[in-house]
Amino acid sequence: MSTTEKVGESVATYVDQRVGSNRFLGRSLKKVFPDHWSFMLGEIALYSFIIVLLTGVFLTLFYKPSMIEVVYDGSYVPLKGVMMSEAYASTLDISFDVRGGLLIRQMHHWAALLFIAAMAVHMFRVFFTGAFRKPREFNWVIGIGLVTLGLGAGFSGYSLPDDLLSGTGLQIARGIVQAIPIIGTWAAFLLFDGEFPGTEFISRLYGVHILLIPGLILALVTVHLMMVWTQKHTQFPGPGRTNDNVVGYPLMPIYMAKAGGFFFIVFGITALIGGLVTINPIWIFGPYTPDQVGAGSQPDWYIGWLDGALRIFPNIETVLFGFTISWNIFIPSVIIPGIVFTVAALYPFLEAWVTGDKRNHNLLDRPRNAPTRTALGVMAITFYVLLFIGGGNDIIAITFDLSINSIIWFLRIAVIVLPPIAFLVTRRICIGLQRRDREKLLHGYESGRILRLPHGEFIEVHEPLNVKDRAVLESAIEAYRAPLPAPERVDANGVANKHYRIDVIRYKLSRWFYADDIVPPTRAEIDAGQAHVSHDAALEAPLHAYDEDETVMVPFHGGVLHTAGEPATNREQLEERGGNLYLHTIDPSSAPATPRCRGARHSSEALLELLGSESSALPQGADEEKFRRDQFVTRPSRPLASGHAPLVGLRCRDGPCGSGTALRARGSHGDSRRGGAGRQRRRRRADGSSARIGSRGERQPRGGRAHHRQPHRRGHPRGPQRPLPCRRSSRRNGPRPNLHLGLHPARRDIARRLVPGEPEVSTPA
Amino acid sequence: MSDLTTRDGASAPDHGHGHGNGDVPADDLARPLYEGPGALPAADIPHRPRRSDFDPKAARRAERQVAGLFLLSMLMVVLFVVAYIAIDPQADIYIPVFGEIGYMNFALGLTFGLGVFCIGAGAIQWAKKLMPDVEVVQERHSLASTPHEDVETAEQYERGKEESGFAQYKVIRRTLIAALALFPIPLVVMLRDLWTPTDSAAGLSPAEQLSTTAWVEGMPIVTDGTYVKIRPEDIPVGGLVSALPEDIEEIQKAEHNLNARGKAAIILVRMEPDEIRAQQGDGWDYQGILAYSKICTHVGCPIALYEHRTHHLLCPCHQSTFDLADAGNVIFGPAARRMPQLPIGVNEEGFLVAKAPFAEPIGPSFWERG
Ligand code: HEM
Ligand code: FES
Repeated sequence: MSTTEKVGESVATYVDQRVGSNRFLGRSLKKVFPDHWSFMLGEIALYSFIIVLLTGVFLTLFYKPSMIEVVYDGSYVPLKGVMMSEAYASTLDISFDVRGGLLIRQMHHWAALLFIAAMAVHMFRVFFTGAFRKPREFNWVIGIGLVTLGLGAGFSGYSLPDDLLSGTGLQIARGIVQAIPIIGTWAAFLLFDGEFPGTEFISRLYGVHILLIPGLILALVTVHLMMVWTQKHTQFPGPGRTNDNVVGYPLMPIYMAKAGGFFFIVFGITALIGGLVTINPIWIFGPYTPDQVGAGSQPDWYIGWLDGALRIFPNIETVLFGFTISWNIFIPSVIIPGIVFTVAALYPFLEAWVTGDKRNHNLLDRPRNAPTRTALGVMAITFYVLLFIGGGNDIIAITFDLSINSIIWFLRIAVIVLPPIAFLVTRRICIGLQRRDREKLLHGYESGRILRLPHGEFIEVHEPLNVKDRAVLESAIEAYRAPLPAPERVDANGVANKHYRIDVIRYKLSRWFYADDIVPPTRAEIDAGQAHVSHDAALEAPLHAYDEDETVMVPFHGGVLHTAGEPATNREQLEERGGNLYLHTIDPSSAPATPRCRGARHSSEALLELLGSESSALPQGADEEKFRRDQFVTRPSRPLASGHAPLVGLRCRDGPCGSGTALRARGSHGDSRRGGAGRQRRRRRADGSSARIGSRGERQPRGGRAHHRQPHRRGHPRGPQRPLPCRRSSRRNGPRPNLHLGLHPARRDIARRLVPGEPEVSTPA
Repeated sequence: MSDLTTRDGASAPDHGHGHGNGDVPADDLARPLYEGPGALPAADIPHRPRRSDFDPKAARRAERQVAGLFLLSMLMVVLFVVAYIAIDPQADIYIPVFGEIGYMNFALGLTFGLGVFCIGAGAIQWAKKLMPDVEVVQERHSLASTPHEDVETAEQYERGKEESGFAQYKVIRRTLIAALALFPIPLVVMLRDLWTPTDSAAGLSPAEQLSTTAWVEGMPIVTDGTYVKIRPEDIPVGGLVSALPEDIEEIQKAEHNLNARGKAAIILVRMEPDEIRAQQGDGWDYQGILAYSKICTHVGCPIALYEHRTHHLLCPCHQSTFDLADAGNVIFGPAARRMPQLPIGVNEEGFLVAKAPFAEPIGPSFWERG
């Protein structure tokens, strides 16, 4: 134990004897956090808030929150001798005369933008994955509070420099306050100490900006994090992940290093941006005076949507009994944001009421498994984006040479029409994805490879789901809920239901919420389907060579097996040839100077000879005769990048060569292997071409071919089906027949089982 | 560590034994490989060893990378201090893509940013390459209290209620609630002095203040910025001039604020008299020169975007459009009211003056405006 550690230990003991901290620490250091990129969004928000605090404190050392008029005498020449408020003059000083001041000012502003942006994206992550559900509703409400406060912090900060732009923003804010019915005029006078602009507002805002709002944010952030701590983080569905556990990395040391490091990364990037990219160049705009304005003045992005609402709202004002009600201002800038934030805050409770769901949810929803929620979210985003566009309508009009009037009229209609359309479209897409998941659960992946069975039947090989994908897809089972049952007017005992009307509304909403959701298959159905698929895949499996490093294609030319890295064939080339069928077979005519491929035994022996590699060990207890007949197993001499010797297997099925023929069509996996760095690697044949044979309408064989016996053997490639000769492809100089490799992990498992002794994954001691 | 297990079932610290399913008999293929989330043994979570796990060279390389990043960070801090001392704060530098930016700011941002960034990058590289990347499983425990605890809490509450007599002493209960309801009142009342009327506005209600401006009968009109009086012939047809009352500077000096300016700002435009279709009062123009408030009736931005052929005045804030040839009426946008017009004429010296104050409050609406 080093001296530092000894000191540390005695400090820990000292503190522990007084506050009992070791118990807590011990539990905390091994706390497990699940890993996912989207879980970093909240972290970014937290870190940028810390950066804002640090840089803000620096700014307070130089900034003077005063509207007293002074004559500028700093080093920015164009404004020398100009009358301006002390606030503006001190901001100019920070920018030009305090070394590093501009850097800190720009970092403060960039970090503020990042803070709000990260909160917003984090919020959508939570929304779309249903992380706000029981037991995390409070944290959602706190989150909405934080976003609201963040907007307030940003707006109040933006107004502090007292340049022409920020003053204009304040003037608009004043107009909005003044438009509040009954109390508006008085409220505005109290806030501004009289008329606009007065001399007090900046110093009042200053207190709000540096103390009140950051204090509230800090308090809420603390509670927010404590709740995350006690409730433990949610996790995405995956292997081994259940509603009752957390799978991830322990706080000490992994998260300490990762999260701590990430703070420095965010900090560093903010500093780099602050050094390189100018933001809010207040010296250009000049000091504020209430009778001037710059054209094309724009608020920061997070205020843009409110400004947009103010811009596109029709000009309705009524005078009632001698009092003015400015609907044109009050509705878009007070009522609409009020509704938006209230509904957002209440959403978890509304959804729980409609669905009647009282369970705890620690596993996240995949957005597709909650189509209505996802659609509502997209609808909200659409609404936001339209208003945001409204906030920049003058810029759009100038850039694209459009008339402002037509933009405004378009937006007035679009804001009402487009969100519901976005809702419907999103819901349909989700339901489509659900349907596809269901297919995959029952029938595995479409491999795009056609297998010709000895009696001549063609089937498309389906591959069993791998462990990860299956766990992910199966989460649909937990996510699925049927709508609530219809309420009864009287219960079984003849007692009238007092809440009948409410219950009917709830029942209808619940029907609407779950409308058309696809019922996922049961576990038993999935097991049966996957077992069947595995069986077929196992039949075909040995036709392929196996390769641990799946990014490498190993082509197979007419019976000659090449090891990894063959330059002539790579993924792009394979994709280019999309749509073609490739013959995967041992081609008797193309193994010159070797015994003809007459049968399985021959071919395997011949190839063994050709390659000069050692055959793999015989599985314990396996029937040697059978094994040699069925398997051709070899290892290329060159180990692959992962450090494992790849397992390569070939198989000719019984009978004359070519009767076991695998054909390859362009891959048809679509999105079957989604997300995740680990999965990325496997996305080899997955090139979004699912439409080719993956789309639903074509699942059934056309012409009702009798060979289509197995219910799950669907999907023949589109286009004429030519029986393929067991010969080298006639396109001699074109793409050569390829043995397509890189197995799906599940199939690799199968291969492993066939050949035990495969070096296993091991971590260093 | 009872609730902490690694993927392969061993307890946390000694993770990383090989785990194999290679010894599954080949005839076991039809058996389902897994049973869905939950039923899956932790050992089946797919895991790929990293190069640094089995290749000591790679591990050493990673170690060097991490230390290198930390070293780079230190170097950057040194450079930061050098830049802080050596660079002229007023110098500019041209950086492609970013353009002409402050040299000092650029150098400080770059060195500080990289310095901090490298610490983070080093830590993350360390975690990614050298710390175990084996996921572990921890059980969740129910958050809800046990029934026993519930009962105990309820008992404590009941006991407190009993002992305090809260339920029993009705009067105490009610007066306490009322007292608590009233106690914030002083805090609110004290906010009243957030607004103390200035001497010049003493006795005027907010609505009255908003309804008056510095314009009075005979007040000469001066240009904004240079404060010179204006003769009608100074304004060409199609021209626009921002203007203020002559005594605006004095008022500002006396009041120490810009309030009067914010209300009194006007624009003067000149058109051919026969182009004027309507005005807010008969003969409020002077030979085709019209004076309108400059403050938008929507939420109060100053307006100066004037299209002299159409006589449209466009607000830069929310694009309300007013037709100055037609009594300043709104023709488009969110503003609900026309721009107030100031009646003007000339005095005996031939300078433009206000013939009367504004007939209605200028600027944004307010409740008492009527
Ligand atoms: C809570 C989140 C915060 C946000 C979103 C935020 C945002 C902003 C923004 C956008 C500006 C305008 C910067 C410019 O371009 O000049 C600003 C200015 C300022 N902020 Fe903050 N801020 C926050 C917290 C703080 C804190 C905690 C402090 C001090 C303890 C602080 C001190 C200042 C000062 C002194 C200014 C004026 C300096 C200047 O105008 O350059 N801020 N803030
Ligand atoms: S302030 Fe002029 S349109 Fe809004």
